[in-house]
Amino acid sequence: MGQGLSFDLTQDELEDLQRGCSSKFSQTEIQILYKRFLKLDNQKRGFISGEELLAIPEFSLNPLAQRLVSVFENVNFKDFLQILSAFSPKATKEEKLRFMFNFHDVDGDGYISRLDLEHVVRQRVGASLDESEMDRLLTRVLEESGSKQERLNFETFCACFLEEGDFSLDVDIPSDDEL
Amino acid sequence: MGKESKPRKASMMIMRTGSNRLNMSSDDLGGLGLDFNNTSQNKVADEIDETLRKEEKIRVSGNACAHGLLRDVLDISSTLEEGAAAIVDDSFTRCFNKASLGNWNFNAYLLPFWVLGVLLRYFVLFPLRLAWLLASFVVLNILFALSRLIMPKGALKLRVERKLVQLIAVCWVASWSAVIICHGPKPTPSKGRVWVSNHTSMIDWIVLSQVTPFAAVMQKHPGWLGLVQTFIMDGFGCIYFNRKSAKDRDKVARTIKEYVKNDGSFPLLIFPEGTCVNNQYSTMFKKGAFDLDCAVCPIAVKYNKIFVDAFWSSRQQSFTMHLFELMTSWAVVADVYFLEPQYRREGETSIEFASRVQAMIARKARLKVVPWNGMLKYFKPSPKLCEQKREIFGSAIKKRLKEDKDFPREAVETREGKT
Repeated sequence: MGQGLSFDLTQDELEDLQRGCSSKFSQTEIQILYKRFLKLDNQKRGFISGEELLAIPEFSLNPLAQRLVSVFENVNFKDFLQILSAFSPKATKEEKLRFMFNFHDVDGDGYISRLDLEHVVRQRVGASLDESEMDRLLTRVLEESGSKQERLNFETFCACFLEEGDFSLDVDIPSDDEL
Repeated sequence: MGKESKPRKASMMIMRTGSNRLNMSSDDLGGLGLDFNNTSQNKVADEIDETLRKEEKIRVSGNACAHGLLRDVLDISSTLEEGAAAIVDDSFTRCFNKASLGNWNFNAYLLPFWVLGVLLRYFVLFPLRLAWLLASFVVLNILFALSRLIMPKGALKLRVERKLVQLIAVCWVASWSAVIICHGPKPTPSKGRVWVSNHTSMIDWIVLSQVTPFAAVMQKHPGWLGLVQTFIMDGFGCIYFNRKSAKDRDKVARTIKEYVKNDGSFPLLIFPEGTCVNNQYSTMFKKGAFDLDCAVCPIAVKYNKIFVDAFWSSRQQSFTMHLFELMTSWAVVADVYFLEPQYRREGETSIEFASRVQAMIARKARLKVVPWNGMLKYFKPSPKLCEQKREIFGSAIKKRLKEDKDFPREAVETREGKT
């Protein structure tokens, strides 16, 4: 009690972690996130498993929980910070878009293919669209994107988010007196 | 551009629209758990699910009108934001976590003092306080009843009643040896004003009434608390409701409107959160209190948890136990801030007004604002909810597809023309 947070990480480790996430988080925020990380990592294995993530009630209700799990599960704290840094208010619009692009790019080939898109859209709509409707939707969407090979690259993706203040992808880090 | 970003903003606000239906509810539901039977609980749970469904629907449709289909399909930002926020901070359960008292750094020579303290608190202080509370309560209530029966209606009677209510609150507060520091101007009763405060426990009302007697909008409780409500608090315009009945809500809304317009004898106090929160967070402010076309005077109450956590976790604890906990602690320490009255600005919706006032209170009381509807404390959102969210998004997309089928070329052309 009363010792605060700072004894979990040394100054060197903190600075290393901060470099790892390109200073998108302050050192205090990193310590807070570390606490949270340890708390979620029930079995103390150094990473958070999918089950441990899905045990958060708010999280389990998220339509994209499955895909989010595959992004955040089984990574060490340094990578966890790096992934999360897209949600920092300090992250640029491009970094945020890059995160959303990669989120769609399920197979990781640098393009959002028809299959990638179907994977994510399926998670968002559940069973409410049947196969033919889904098919029509994907065709329609890819047509609107104007791409000829039925896949989106990062530039086409960004073109949909041109306007200023168009979307927000910021997450507040709680302050340490609440921990 | 401004045109397009507006629906987005609206959709951000939608998370709060639960207030439409769960208006006005104030004070804690706590006692309710006791006499709640299953059917009505299910009913309210359904109602909440319904609200959430509606919110999602408006959110989705708000987005859908603003952009092309491609954009709507690709924009997953708000869902991602929610997901990441849940990973970083599980804020909802935190709102209702009771702080455990910090452990002592025990050692051999501190222990005897601690034991002495416990003995003193439980076996000396507590009986004295209880005797004091009961005695003052009985005497003052008899006086209060007498004044209501005997005294002729008029300004003098009102003044006597106000003084007596205040004295009851003062005696009650003294039974916890409370240290309460008030900041800002003392509220004066008048027409056309309503006071709103963050809510930690039933004792908020007592703490505030010892400054100036307030009439509160509160949940009707069973047991001895209910008796106090019926026989005493009723006498000065407290307004009760039963959360499980939707009919009650409309009635209460009307009563409040009438009261604020016509009666200024006791200032009216509303807790827009509608439930007790642990004084570190602030759940959604319901818009009812902000719909009255009158001045809204914010009050921020911050408890110091050094001796005892004043949060009434009503699901785990009866009010009697809560009082016992307070009366066996060394002291209840609190700061009360009376803030500057706020008026609805031109073009501001009551929901926006509510969040503006909430932000003021939260800043002063150092609370973190979370978008959750406090009612969810009583009703766990079902996993079906996720499936429902999907369905709502799905049907919005379906609708768009159908529209597209009717005018497919046109839609594409206008969009291309824009970009």
